[in-house]
Amino acid sequence: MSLEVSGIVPHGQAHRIGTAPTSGNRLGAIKIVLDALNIRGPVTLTKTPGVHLNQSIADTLHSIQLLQPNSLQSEAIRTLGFSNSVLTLVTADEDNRRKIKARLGEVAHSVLDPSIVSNLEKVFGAPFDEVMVDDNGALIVLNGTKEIEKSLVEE
Amino acid sequence: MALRKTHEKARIVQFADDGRTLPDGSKIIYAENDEKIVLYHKHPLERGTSYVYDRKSGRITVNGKEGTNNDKKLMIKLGGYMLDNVHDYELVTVSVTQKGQPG
Repeated sequence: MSLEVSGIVPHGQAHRIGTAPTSGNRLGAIKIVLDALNIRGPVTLTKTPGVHLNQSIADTLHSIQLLQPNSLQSEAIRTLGFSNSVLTLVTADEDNRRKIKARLGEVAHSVLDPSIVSNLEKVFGAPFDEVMVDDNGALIVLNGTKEIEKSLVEE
Repeated sequence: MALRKTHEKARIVQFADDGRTLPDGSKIIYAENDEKIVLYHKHPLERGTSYVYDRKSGRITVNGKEGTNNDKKLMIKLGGYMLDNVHDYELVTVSVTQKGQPG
């Protein structure tokens, strides 16, 4: 059992790297995420063609190519239902940090008392761009590049 | 078809380097589609914890069980911890589609 990796090799030539055995650990983590998203059966994990691969991705592809599953890992991969699956990576230039921050803000927004949200949005005249939580669990509201003092949220 | 749409939209974000961990030794994988936001957190030798936020209902489940606002805060805190300790160039996005469908 294996994953397949298609993509652009580091020197820029389009290249099908082909079937590439990978570790059960990586698959296990990905499988849990797929389950959470209600994705079942064979999946394709694909890389967008034509993007530049940075060294990290190149290293990942390299390591995937080199990994050979042992019998236990092969069994785990089969059990996880990843036969005939394809792994495709997307460019790392996607501003993942910004995307994740925005999504976490979605979660944080749901924690806030709607009346507080409404009042703060009236005060600042616009919907919040981001809502984050600091290390102490206090909510921080961001509006554009301006950070609204969390004390305001707590009032 | 709703299922197809879900598959086309799903994304996973994780460290490009499989061996890379956060300062406390744990690993976090982030994922999302139109319906859910997922954080999977795992310490070595321990069972992982899966936080799944339903974007429509605003509810959260933790390892499949209904969670609370405190669980949401913990999920956000973990996400913040991840962001505080990673650069964009260390992350890869994995596009998830059913085999035979466009990625």
